[in-house]
Amino acid sequence: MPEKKIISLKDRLLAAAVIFGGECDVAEIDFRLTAYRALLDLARSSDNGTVDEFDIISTLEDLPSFKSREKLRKLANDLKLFERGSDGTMRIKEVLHLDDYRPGSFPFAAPASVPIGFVEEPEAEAGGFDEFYKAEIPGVLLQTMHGLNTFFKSAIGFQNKTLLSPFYRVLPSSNNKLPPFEEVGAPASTTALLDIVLFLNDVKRLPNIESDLDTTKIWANVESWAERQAACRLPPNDPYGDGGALYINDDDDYPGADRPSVLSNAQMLSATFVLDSMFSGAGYANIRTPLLEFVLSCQNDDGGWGPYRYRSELYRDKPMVASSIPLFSFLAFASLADFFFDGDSDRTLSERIVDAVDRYACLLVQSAQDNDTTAGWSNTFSLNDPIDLFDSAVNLHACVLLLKVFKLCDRKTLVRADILRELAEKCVRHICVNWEVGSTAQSNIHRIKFRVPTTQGSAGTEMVWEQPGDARLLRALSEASLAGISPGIDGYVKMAQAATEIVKACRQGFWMDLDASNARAGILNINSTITSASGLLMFERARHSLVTSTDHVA
Amino acid sequence: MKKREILQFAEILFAHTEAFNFPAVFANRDNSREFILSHIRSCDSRILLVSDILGSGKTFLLNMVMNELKSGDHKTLICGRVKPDALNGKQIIVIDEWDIKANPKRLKKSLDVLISARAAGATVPTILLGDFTLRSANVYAALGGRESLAEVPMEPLNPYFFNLALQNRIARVRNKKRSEELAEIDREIVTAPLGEALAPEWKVTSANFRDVFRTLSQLCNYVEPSMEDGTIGPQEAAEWVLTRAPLGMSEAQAAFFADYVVALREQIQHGGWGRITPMTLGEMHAQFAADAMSLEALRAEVVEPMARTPGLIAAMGTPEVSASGDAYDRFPGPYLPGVYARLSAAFGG
Repeated sequence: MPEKKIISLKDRLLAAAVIFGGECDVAEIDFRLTAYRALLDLARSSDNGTVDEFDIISTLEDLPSFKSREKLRKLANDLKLFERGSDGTMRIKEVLHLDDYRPGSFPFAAPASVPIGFVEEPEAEAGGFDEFYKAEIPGVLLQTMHGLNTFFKSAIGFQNKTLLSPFYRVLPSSNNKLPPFEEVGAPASTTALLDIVLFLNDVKRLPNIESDLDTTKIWANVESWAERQAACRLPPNDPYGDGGALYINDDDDYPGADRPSVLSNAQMLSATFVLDSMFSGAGYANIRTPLLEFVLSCQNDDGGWGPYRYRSELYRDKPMVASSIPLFSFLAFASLADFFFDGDSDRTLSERIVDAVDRYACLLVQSAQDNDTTAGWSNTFSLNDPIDLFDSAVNLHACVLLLKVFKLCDRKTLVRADILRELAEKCVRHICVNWEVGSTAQSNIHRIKFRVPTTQGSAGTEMVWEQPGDARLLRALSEASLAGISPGIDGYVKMAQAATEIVKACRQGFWMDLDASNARAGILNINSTITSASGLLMFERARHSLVTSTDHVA
Repeated sequence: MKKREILQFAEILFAHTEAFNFPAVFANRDNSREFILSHIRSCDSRILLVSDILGSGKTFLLNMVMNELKSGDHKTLICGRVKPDALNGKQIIVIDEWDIKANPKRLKKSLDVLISARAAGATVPTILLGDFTLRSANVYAALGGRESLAEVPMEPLNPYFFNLALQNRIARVRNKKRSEELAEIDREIVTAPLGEALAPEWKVTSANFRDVFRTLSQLCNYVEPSMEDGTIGPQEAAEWVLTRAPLGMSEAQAAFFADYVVALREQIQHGGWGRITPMTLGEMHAQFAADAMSLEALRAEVVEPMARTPGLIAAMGTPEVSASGDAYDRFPGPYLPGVYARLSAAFGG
């Protein structure tokens, strides 16, 4: 086969007109095109590229038409796709010469020949992707809003009934409609609902999402849930000193855990800003302090966060420190960032928050300079560095958010903004070069492993929190783009490809569980849903270049 | 059964592809199953032919038998792609798709491979599955004549068979072991007139499982999703006929088909489905087209194109492969109405 040649749209159209056109109606043209493709498939599927007349005619006879065999034989002859070999067999041509169809009667500007596959979809061109999916993203986001709202209502009912937290993995009921849903799989976390709250807040900032959904109903559901959540905090006299921290009975960030976690407290902290703005006077600001104290107390010595960190002297001297993990570090930091964007925050808290943010920024920069590729970073981003792109995406997102936070800081930070920006730019280049957009989320699942914390010490069981990688990467690059760090043409092509694949994978506003057998069983995953929808959301914003000075996203 | 339940379980009730495999409950195939089993167990050296119309369930029947035999060495070969060494060492040889989809040259090659293997001493049980091509005179001759062959008596899809199959599926949905345990309300989800049109009482029939259950699956599009008890019947069939009218027929084809359906309708009204018998090309020409075109034109321009289109006219003759493999008469008469023609006659306007 000849090297694949890029054919312009004009040449395709001209070739199509020459080969399929003539004095015939639209149905006939459609049939000719169908016949062309069928014969192309026949040739490609034959044993040694050769076919005989029976194969050709029977292929055409199998197409839905009422044409006689004679007419089909004539059509096959007219299409002139095959050339006969000396042994009588026929082989499909590689190139079609247009003059064979209209001898001497087509314009000089038309192509002399086209490859046999000119009827096939063109390769994605730089900078763009299928227009169909561009139009689809707002619709998909709307569906997700509707779907999550329905899920949210069910989740509240479930939670009220069972006093347990709803799960990440849900199975739609047998008539494939939510609610009700049946909970399945390993418990996940209250962050399922927290994620939804944050996502719904983000979506409403996208002006081209016009929805007939009554948003007051969404937020009414959120309010009733939030009231219950706000009550689920440790008592002030918690023996381990974490009074006021968020803790749900069977806090299933980690099954078997019996202490609060960084994740749910950081998410709840972020949620209080959203809830406060929606339901002013409800007092969500009042519960913020103990949540913040807990998150701050969990920051590791290196400046990052793991899933938990508990003061060892109160835990029978057992070390209860989990190593910093990029994603947890970022989510904890993002909850602190909200204080900077909230105009009413208590200024006395800001010094400690700035200290914490500073330390996190130092971690990012230092780990890059140390070439600590386990942290998802490298100073050189050499192609040989075994960097987990997912972690790179998380750190990139962190850099972008740090740059925004630094602009709002009253005092000088330890890390210079230009250093962070340079790191972010290198990271963007690295991702754009090395990212291979998966045809399914299965090939881009990032698995974060950690151990469950209990009052007796770290549990033996290892938990795995799966994250859809392409969606995270899409989001990070979109955030960077919004911050003025361009991914370049190659990066945009990959972002578009990822967005296309994510849209294709959407099922009525939800995305399936990342585990293949769960997906086959029809199990939805709220985490995948939020992460995928958030990726699309940010991509949509990047495309529309909506940037404001106070913009922030957790 | 409630209408909504019919829709809810439609995928199971009207399964017609391999996507849904029923466990080994196969209605009304006792004779054919037993025939195959005893042929294999007795090491009968004759070649076994499982010959029936496309979509009748031959492959499914064979898989059931193989499961019953717990035959681990069973890998079905495909006609047209049988290489000589593929037959070596096999305990049972099964070759599928001896039908009008096969290229006649490759079909002949497969015949040659098979005969050579048997001549070389491979006399293990050999089963060929296909349509009536397996009854072609040239194929018979190539396989050694009638004495070398045993034909499985395939049960035709008639009202009894159809209802039994459907009730087994309903029992499956209702978690009942036997259809006798079904509640009265569950026994009939397809009305009798529709059932007769889908699977008429014919000795030689064009009705096959695939077409019938696929049609039922499509009829569900016209069932209202209510909680009332209901059945699928004439109303749904009438809507189906209307929306599934074939597009792209020539004037001559449309005129022929309209007359054909009217004639069918009259026969049904005057004597039921039993009055309808296969028509030869000559009979069709005499009744519908004598004034309009020649016999050959009727065959080439009307009947054969329509016979190629599923559901209109079904060719019930024996497709003939020439001895040299150069020619293949794929749609010979006589002809019976396909499922669309049958439902048009029974419920169309």
